[in-house]
Order: sequence, then C-alpha cells, then structure tokens
Amino acid sequence: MKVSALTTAELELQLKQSGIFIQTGPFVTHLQTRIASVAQGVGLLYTDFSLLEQTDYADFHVSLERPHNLRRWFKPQVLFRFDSSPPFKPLPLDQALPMLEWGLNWCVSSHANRYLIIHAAVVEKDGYAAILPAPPGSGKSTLCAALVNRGWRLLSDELTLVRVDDGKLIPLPRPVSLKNQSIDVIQHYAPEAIFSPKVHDTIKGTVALMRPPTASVARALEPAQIAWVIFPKYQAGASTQLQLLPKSRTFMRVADNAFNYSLLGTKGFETLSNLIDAADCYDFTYSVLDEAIATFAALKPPTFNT
Amino acid sequence: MVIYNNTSGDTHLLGVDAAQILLLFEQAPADLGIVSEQFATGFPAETHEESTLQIEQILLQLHELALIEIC
Repeated sequence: MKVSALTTAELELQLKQSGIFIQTGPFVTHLQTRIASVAQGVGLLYTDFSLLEQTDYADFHVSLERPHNLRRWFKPQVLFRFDSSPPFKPLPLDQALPMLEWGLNWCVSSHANRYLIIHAAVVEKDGYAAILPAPPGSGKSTLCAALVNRGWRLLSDELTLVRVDDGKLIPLPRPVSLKNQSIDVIQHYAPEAIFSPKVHDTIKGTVALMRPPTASVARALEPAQIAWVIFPKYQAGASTQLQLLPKSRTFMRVADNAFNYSLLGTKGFETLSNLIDAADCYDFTYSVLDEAIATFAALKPPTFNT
Repeated sequence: MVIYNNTSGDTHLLGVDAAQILLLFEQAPADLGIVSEQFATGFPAETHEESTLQIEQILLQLHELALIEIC
C-alpha cells in the first residue's frame, strides 16, 4: 500500500497511534508523531512511498514529539527521537518537517555501514549514474533538483550509498531539500514540482522540500552503475565549464566527503578505488541551469563501461 | 597515486617521485645510494648532490608517514 492510499486524517491517526512503517530505498523506518504538520508533510512528500504492514522489524524507529517543558506554552519545540533517545537538541516546532529529513539522514549516515556513504547527490540516466559531491552552498541540490525534473532518475540528493559488496549505487530517493534562493529557482524552473511550505530561520536559512519524482520512487530498489563523479559549483555569471580531473585527486576529495570511509578501513579504500576507477571525473562550474542540463545530456559514458 | 596504509588506516596522495620510490621499496629494502642511482636522473636538480638531497627528503617524508622504515 502507498502513502497516497490513506486520507490525511487516516495518516494522522496512524502516525499518532502505532506509527507507520515506510520503505525508503533499502531501509524501513518506523515513524510515530502527534504533530499534524509532519503528518501533512509526509502525506504531501511521501505520497508514492510504500507502507509496510505492521511488523516487528524496522531499520530505524523514530518519532517527532513536542517536549514536555515550559516552552510548549509560549515557544513550542519539536524533538527527534531515535530508539527513544534524542540525538539532537530540540528545534522550533515549525521546523518539524525539515527536522524529520535531517534526522533520517543522520539515521542512515550513522548506522548503515554496509555502504560507503558519501555526502553527495546521485542521479542516473540510460543506465549511467553521476555522483555530485560538494560542500553546502555549491549548488549541488539545485542542480540535482533541476536534473530530476528533466528526465534524470533521482537516487538521492544528499547521501550516495555505495554497496561495499559489489560497488553498486543503491537508491535512496527522498524529498529534495532546497535552501534560500534555490527554492524560487527550482519552483520557476519546474512549476509542476510539488513543494512543502517554506520554513524560515532554520540553521540552513529558509528551507523547502521537493517531492521526489514518482518514477524515481518506483525504481527505488533498482541499483545503478557509476559513470561519472562531478564536483558542481554554482558561480553567478560564470560560463559553463566541465574540466577533467585526475583520479587520484578525485579519490581524496570524495574520501573527504564520505561519512564512514575511515570506519570501513581497507573495505572503504577498495570500494572507493573501484568506484573512482570506473568513473570519469570532472569539476563543473555553471550559472545557467539549461546549459548545465545540456552539458549533462552530452556526457559520454566511460569507454570501459560500454 | 593514492595509497592506503593498512597499519595506520591512513590514505595518502603521493606525487609521482614518491610513488616510484615507494614501489622500489615494495620489491626489496634499499639504501640511499641504490635509490639515488635509480632515480637521480629523473629529478630536475642541477647536480647529483641536489638530487640526492631531494630523494633524502622524500624518504624522510615517507618515513614520517610510516610508509617506510629507516634503519
């Protein structure tokens, strides 16, 4: 059953009572909350996701709740709990939905060590995937959102999962988190995309979440093959430029962007070596989204992959 | 070249010269004379003494990274 099969009232009730077991990529999350805005956000953004029947097993048991403190009367807050414990300090209540996304990212990046986890967006087209690692503010999520609204499959806008066993890229399509000016840019670029309401004054500025494309969610259990590692950088007024990078330097930059590279030890090194060996690697500077999309459309697969 | 030291768990990005010297040590132990003889001509130094000094510095750096052991 999909989330869309439930009415908002039914979803709110289920989240309040036993919670929902929702499949996101390879993970099952058990989510409970009494906060109406979260229920509405889940109904809006996770509409295409599968709900599992009540089960004892979930990878992550999480809840969002209002802490029982004095602030609840004049400055209400929200607390994210993982296995009943709060890994973070509470945030203002209106940030509950972004907090769910940040919390779910934390669940994966802190626990899923059967994958090499890279802080990077990952998209795929015609069987070839591009990893986009980049620090915050580089335009990674903006470019990712633009690509997935122009025919690329979303694997993730935030966490690239490389399966240690075979080096395959494992999809984790979830809502795409956009910040500040990027929200208006993508709303203008893809008017048909569905967005959550904007949340202001978060630690990342103004945040809005974009619903992942239905087709990407439908293929969430279908791994992808690496073809390119591309470091995007948005630079106002810059011309579109794709510059080949040496693999050795790419390796070090990707390792710097990985959450658990050191933790995985030799397996992390081998997994990343195989990944970089199989990819063409580039620095990419852009300022015009249409030109960026055209550059991606013209990418040639690495010759050893064909 | 990127190398992984499974003793320390550290990953290092080495230049071409350092990588070639390390590969030489992978085959067999060597002293400064042997390394100099093998690589000195490839260094952009003006004299043999200068290139030996450059090689010595690389060996010290490899030692500091625990990639070779200087006895």
